[in-house]
Amino acid sequence: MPAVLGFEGSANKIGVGVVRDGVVLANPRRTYVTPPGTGFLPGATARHHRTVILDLLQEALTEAGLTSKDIDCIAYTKGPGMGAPLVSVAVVARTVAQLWNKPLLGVNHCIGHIEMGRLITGATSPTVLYVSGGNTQVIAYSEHRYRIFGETIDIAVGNCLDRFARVLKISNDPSPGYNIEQMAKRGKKLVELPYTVKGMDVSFSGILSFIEDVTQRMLATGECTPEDLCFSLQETVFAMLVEITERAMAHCGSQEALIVGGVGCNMRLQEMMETMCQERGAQLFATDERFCIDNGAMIAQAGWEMFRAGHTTPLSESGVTQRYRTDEVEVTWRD
Amino acid sequence: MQAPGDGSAAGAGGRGGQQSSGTPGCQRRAGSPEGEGGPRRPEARRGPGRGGAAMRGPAAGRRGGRAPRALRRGGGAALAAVRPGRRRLVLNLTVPFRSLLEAHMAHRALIAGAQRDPGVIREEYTVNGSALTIRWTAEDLDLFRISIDSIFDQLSRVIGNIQHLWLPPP
Repeated sequence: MPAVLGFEGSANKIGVGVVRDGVVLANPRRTYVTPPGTGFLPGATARHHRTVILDLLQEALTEAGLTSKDIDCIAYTKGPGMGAPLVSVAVVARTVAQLWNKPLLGVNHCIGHIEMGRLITGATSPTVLYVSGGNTQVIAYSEHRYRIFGETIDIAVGNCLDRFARVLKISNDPSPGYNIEQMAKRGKKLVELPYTVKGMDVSFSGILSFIEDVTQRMLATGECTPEDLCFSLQETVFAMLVEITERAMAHCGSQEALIVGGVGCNMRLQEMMETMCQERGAQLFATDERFCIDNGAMIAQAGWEMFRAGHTTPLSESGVTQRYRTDEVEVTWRD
Repeated sequence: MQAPGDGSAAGAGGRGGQQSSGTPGCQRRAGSPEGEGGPRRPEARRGPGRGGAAMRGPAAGRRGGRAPRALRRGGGAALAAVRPGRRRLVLNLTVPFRSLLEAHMAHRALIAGAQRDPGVIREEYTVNGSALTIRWTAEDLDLFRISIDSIFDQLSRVIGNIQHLWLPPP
């Protein structure tokens, strides 16, 4: 059975993973962390990835106990994501594929999350809440496509949280979202924020603008604490996500919900989703930070499924695309 | 590096209002010997190639005189697509590799990421013997610089990968 090596580097995490027969043999990762109050820019992120990727590759092979001869396919993130980091990883994948004489496979990042979530949790056909710094979608599988039932119409929920973290100059280590979560646990007061659900979709840019505007004033007057604001932002945006997920589950008659993506690590989000699922008699699935956060193994796993189904990507078509919709991929590996 | 466009594009406010198409340093290097031209990329110079990259522009441009006939405004079908007030910028970069195989690897690794909008900036890749030649053609100086910078980054990564991961057969 094939062993697939996967490269992921669409945002500020760079990971190389090895998967064979549904077993994750290796999954090392590095994160590009910027100073508090700043975000990560494409050029600097790409430079970070270039610096560490070959070491990560060696680390992955060593951890898996494999050599290049044991690898059957090279998978990489084709998109969506940030341009420069995507290109820097794709170039390495193309070169490695040629050096080792292995087929190449471009993988949709979102599908990587879904396939890893399915593998780790064993969920059969869940309604998927995919939430990260770059994407916010509610997805369900139907007739060989992962269909998007609802999504953000502007910024991703993780982007909203990360940018609010910059306002408060919260540390980006290990991630701004994690630090917001810890502060939110100490919040006591709920500050009313705009709640923006539009049918099956959500909007976060207005919430972000509002909270950016009021933060300085409210903190200066002592009306609330930074912890209260973190708590209030989480409660508001997570409630919106739970609402649209429940709406999709009702539409599909689904009894399973799966959370994937970096924001899926958030225990408060998992708690709120669990409450909703229990009320519906449904089951919630979620993974831990090893597989929620962007990682190479998820690309390897999706690549493994695609490779077994006969997919490969010719070198001439192995570019990247910053806008790569989840439903663009024909999911031939599922019934 | 050969000053983009023609050799007469010297100071600021060149013809057609276009900003200077090369720094003084670039002009001094116009037509300089192989391996000494243009932006320095240590990886490219230490790479599998024999001595580094050679960058050449249109031959007439090296003389630093008037624009070569083919590039003069209104001269020939080649200029039909150049908008009024703009100048076509051309750069050729030749990177020698140790073998035809490595040149082809680099070619295949880079060509997949080539510009998809050839109307804005055109990148052409060819392999001649064990050398990879990249030719840029553009009207917009900023896009020109961005593309060159991007390709240099990718090329250095490809060369680094080849050096790190593979040894050529004896």
